This record gives sequence, structure tokens and C-alpha cells, in this order.
Amino acid sequence: MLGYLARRLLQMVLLIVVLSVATRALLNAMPGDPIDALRKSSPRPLTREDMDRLKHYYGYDAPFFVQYARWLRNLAAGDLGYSQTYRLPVSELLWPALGRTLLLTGTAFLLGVLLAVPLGVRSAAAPGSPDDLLIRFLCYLGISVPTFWLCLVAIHWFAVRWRWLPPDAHVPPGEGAWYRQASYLVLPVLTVAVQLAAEWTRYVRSGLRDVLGMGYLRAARARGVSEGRILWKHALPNALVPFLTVLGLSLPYLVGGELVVEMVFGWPGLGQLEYEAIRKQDYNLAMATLLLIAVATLLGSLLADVAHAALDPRVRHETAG
Amino acid sequence: MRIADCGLRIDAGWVAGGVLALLAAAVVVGPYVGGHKYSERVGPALEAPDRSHWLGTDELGRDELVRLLYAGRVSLAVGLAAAVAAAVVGTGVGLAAGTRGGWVDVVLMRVTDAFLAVPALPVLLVLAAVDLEKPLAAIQNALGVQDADLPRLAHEPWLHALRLVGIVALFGWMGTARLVRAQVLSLRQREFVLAARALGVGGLRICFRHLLPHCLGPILVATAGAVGGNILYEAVLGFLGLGIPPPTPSWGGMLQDARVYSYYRAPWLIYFPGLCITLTVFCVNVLADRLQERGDPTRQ
Repeated sequence: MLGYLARRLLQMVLLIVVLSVATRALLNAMPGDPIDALRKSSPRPLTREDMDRLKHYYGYDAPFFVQYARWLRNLAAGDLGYSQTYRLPVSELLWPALGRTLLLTGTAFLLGVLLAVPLGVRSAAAPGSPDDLLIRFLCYLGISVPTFWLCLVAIHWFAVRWRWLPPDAHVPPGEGAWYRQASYLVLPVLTVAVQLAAEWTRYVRSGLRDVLGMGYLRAARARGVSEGRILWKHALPNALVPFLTVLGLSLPYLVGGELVVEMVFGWPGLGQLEYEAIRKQDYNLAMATLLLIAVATLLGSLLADVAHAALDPRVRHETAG
Repeated sequence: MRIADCGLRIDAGWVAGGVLALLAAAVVVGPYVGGHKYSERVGPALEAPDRSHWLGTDELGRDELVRLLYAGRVSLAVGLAAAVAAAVVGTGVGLAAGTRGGWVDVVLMRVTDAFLAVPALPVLLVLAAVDLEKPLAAIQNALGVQDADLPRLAHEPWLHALRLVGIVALFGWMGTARLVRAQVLSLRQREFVLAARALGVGGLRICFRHLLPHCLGPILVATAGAVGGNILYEAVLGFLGLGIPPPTPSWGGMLQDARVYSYYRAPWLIYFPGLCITLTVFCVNVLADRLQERGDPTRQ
């Protein structure tokens, strides 16, 4: 197990290095460079000498690999660099944005699991029943609806027509009580949670269907264990093991945030920060956000595998070898 | 999934397939029948649906129905083409890794893992923002043709559609590659392959005549399953303004415009493109799942 972990971690580090080179190369391949972007946003016209001086100051006149090596050296020293568009150190932008994203996606995650497990169990317990058909239909609908459109529809009904909730997640500074502040997050959280639940219910259902036919459940039934107890105590834990993998693979989403949801609702999370950084060619900020999400992706799949091995002895033997 | 209680035993797959066929026919034929072009102003802006413009007009006074149909062409074509392209690449990688084995296998599978680990959307954003004019100019210089004016192609809608296909397919081939590799590994030691090898059949011929046909079923299922997600990706890119540039319409782009202009004055504009995307993706997903259930007897 330890050898397996070490091998996975080593692969992870290698992959991240390759990824960061590729990302930086892609960023460089975009038209223009950060100084051009700076000139566009500058209140005073910049002369050619100014631009050359700035380029030299920030090191953008150096060859690609020199630029990359400098970035790596700073990273090793714990310095993520300076964001040109926001005129702040990247770390001061990154961590608050990550916190806001985790608040949104984390709440939605919890809500999604709380919706998906009972719905999936209900659906798998009585295949072919009206409940099952309805749940499956709603799941299909949920995975087929574009997220951003769901946001638009939610805003149109809940904020524009009925005026129950604010149309965006931009909390004004003077907003008082915590529940008033929380009301700004209801719509974004709900839209994300509904879609996650639609996807996950399908996994819970199919996992449970696979388990329900097994012999040990028939044995439990023969011993006179009640149906509810068989379903929730005997079958569900086994059915949830593959579901854990799915949850682990969703970790990048938890960290990276749902860009379109953040955009539509104006929630200043990591997804939006990353998007703006790429658009405005803020190299340092873009690299930092992209890497954070890549690390989360890799850690998520590693965690999922480790959890899977810890819970399922059959998998454990495979990874031990 | 059979709709059990309506007495007719209609298969959901057939219904979904029928709706998709209708949609496809509409987007292919529709624009010829309508008589307007997608960039043509036909009346005042943001008019409600009426007899002459069935779905009203958009924020620039263009016919919404005509634009929806044109946008549907792009969505369906990109979704389908990207799935096919991903299937071709994935099959190639899987076949190569499975039949060659050794270091080829190791390298190809690590590359596959890397693509699975890359967060897709940010890379798509960067790729969609890359300017096509520079590489096209470089190609022209390399070829040495001066009168072709390749950089001008960068503004052609079909080239943007092609770029979208590439971008979407770039993150769609890994599943197929793993599938085909696993299939090949289990087939490689079977008697008919050993017999062919003993008879002196060449490696390539074994690959394409003996192994590939056995993989086609799973490949088809995986490809069909990818189309829905591809259409959603295309819509997201359009919504972010990274799809087909205006005035060529796309469902995602139309939603972005509607979001800016129409909450209060023309809310129906928010619904039409979204309903189109949802209906299309819904039918594709149902159809793909039916295909999968058909191919897997344990699930019927």
C-alpha cells in the first residue's frame, strides 16, 4: 500500500510538472501578452519604450523556458507571483476566491448527496414503479439541461417574476443579518445541487441494482430481516462504495467551481477568477488557479482509489500487488 | 426503459430517435423553407411571437426561429463530428496500445491518464481563445503560396466549427481508448487470433480485420453516449462567447444575448434556445442508454 501510494504521488508530481509546462505554453500561444493587456487598460497611453521596459521588468522578453524556470523557482520559494490585472499578490486573490467557491460548491455537494441517496434508493427498490419512472425521467432531464440555462430560468422565475430571492449572488456590503446574506446563495446552490443530484442518483440506483440481486441479501431475507433494514443496512453500504469513487472524481469540481454558475450569478469564486485571468492573460494568476484545480483533480482521483481500496478488500489486494 | 402502463409498450429509444430525426430534418431543411437569412433584420427588435415570426424576433430584429434552426445545425454537427473524431482517435490509441504492448502501451496509457486528469474547461478556454490567423499565416509561408490568402480563412464560420470539433474531441477520446485497449487485451490471446497469427497473417491485418470488428459494438455505444455531453460543451463555449463568432448563431450564444437583453422585455427568448438544447441532449441520452442496454444483456 505504501509503495503504491508513493508511486501514485510520484506520478502525480511528474504529471503536474508536464501540465504546468503545457499550460504555460498554451498561455504564451494566446495572442498578445500581459503587457499588451496592460496597455489596453492603462488610463495613459504607453509608449513603445514603456512597454519594452515593462516587458523586461516582468521578464516577458526572455525565452519561454527561462520564463518557466523563473516561475518554478518562485513557486518553490512559496511565491505565486503578482497579478497584473488586480494589482495584488496572487495568494491574496487565490485563497479568498477558493473559500467562496468551496462555500458554494460544498453546500451544493452536501445537498446533492442528501437528495441523491434517498432518491436513488427509492428508485432502485421498486424498479418499474411510477416513482422509479418519475425519478429516472427527472434524472435524464437533470443531466440534459445546460447548467447555465437552468440558472437563467431560476433567475427568471424566482428573482424576476416572483421576486422571492435576489437575482445575483453579489452581496451588498451593508447587508445585515446572516440569513439575508445567505439568501443570495440560495439560487446558485440549488441549481448546482439539482444537477449534481441528477447525476449521482443514477449512480446510486445502478450501484444498488447491482447489489440487490446478490445472495447475501436473499440469505438475510430468509432469516426474516425486514425489507427496510435489508435495503438501508445491508445493501446500501455496499452499493455506495463505487459511488465514493464518483464523489472523489468530483473533487476538482468542488475546488474549481462551476464557472458558468459563478458567472451568471456574479459570485466571485475561483472559476471566475481563473476565467478572467485567462482572458486578460494574467499569467501568474492563471497558472496558480489552473494548477490548484489540477492538483485537486489528481488528489481527488487518488483519494477515491485509496478510499475504494480501504473499503473493498478485493480492490485492496489488487493495489497491494 | 419501457413505458409500461400506457398499454402500447412504446420503446423510449424509438421515441427519442424519432424526435431526433425530426430535429435533424428541421435544422437541415428548415432554413431553406423559412426564406430569411440568420443575419437578416426582419422587423423591430424583441417582438413577441406572432403569425409572421413564429418565435418572435431577437434583440436585433432577426427572426428567432430561423436563427434557432441555423444554430441547431452547428450544435448537432459539432456534437456528432466531435464524437466521431474522438472515437477514431480513441480507437487508434487503444488498438496501438493493446496490440503493440510494451513501452508503446505504457506511454499511450500515461498520456491517456494525463488527459483524464487535466481540468478540461480551462484548457478549452485557452484553446478557444488562440488566434487562428497566426498559424494560418505560418502555414501559408511554409507552403509558399502567396495568392491563397489563408489567414482570411480564420474568419470563416466553418473553420470555427472545425476548431470547435477539435476542441471538444480533444477531451473525449480517452474513454474509447481505454475501452478498446481492454477489449484488445482480452481478445489477443483468443484462439481465432492465435490461429490467424499462426497462419502468418500480418499484424496490421490482424488488428483491423480480426480485432477491430469485435470492438465496434462498445465503440458505438461509447460514441453515442458522448454526443449529448459534446452538445452541452458546445453550448457552454457558445455561452462564454468562445464558440462560433457572431453573426452566425449558436444556441449558447443566443442564450448569452437573451440574458443581457430579455429578462423583462422578452423573456421567451431565454426559453427557446435552452429548450432546444435540453430536448436534443435528452433524446440523445435516452437513445444512447437504450443502445447500451441492448448491447449488455445482463441489464435488460
